[in-house]
Amino acid sequence: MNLKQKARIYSPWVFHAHAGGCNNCDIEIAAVFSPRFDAERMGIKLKNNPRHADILLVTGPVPKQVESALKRIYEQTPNPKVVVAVGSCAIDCGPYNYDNGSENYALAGPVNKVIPVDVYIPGCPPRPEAIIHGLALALEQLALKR
Amino acid sequence: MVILIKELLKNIKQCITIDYPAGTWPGKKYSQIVAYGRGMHEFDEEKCVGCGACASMCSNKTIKLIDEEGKRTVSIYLGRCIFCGKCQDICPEKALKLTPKYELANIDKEKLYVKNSLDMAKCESCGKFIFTEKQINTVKNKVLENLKPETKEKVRFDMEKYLKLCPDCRKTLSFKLEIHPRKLY
Repeated sequence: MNLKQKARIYSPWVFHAHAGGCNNCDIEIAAVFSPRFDAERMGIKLKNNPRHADILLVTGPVPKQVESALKRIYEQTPNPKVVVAVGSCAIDCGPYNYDNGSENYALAGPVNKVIPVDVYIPGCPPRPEAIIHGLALALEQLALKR
Repeated sequence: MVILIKELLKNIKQCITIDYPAGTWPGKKYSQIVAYGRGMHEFDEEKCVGCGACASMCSNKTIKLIDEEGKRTVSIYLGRCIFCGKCQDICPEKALKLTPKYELANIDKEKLYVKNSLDMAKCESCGKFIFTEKQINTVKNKVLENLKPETKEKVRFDMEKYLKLCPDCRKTLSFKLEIHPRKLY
């Protein structure tokens, strides 16, 4: 592991991409970076630009309107990058799919159909502690990539 | 204004941030993760009979019953679950419970399942798989509990013939066995 990789793992920058959904996971992500749960003590910082980010936090079931924007955000983040799907909508469209399992006409599928996903965090919404655990798993994945 | 200053002074006295794995307030005996918190599902494998009450009650169609090769699996997909706790409330045997375990994140999507598999009983006349063996025993006990002692022996005698057959064979064989098909319902 060289110096550049080591520095990246000790201060990963996070970009939060909201792709549809009910905003509940977004509130929990806001709580993660608040003083009470304080992910910034571990060096994880929230940024508003995908060009600065190492980790992408994606929430929501990806409607068709957002699909192209999400792809563009993924292309804008520099390599190496890790994508984290937060919440049950991002993993399997959650309650937005129909009861019998057929797909909703307005959705472009869960996040892993649009862009490759590395870590999944289930929960509706996941606890702030669960998101911190997911970010720790994402850092393991970031250490493996070059 | 006085309240604001009081709150500010409180924050200077003690740290607000919670420790990560334990989740305790520093200086107070208060845990952030409560004992009745809703997290990962857990089966009590001895108690579970595979009746499927949880699957019918599930608000998000997360719990599914899969019957194949003489085994019934109750599978819960955590990726779709919203942790409402309806399955825990409806379970007649109190076998399914939500534990406060919250660290569920995983790299692989296929590992987000909680499963429990049970043996199934065969129909004696046609050889089809009908229910799980545990379910038949619990149904037998629950029906016999609330009966009067005069009728108890007769019902038990009927049930031993009856419960080993599939619903189709019950209709066709009911004359031969001298049992009315609606007697037990």
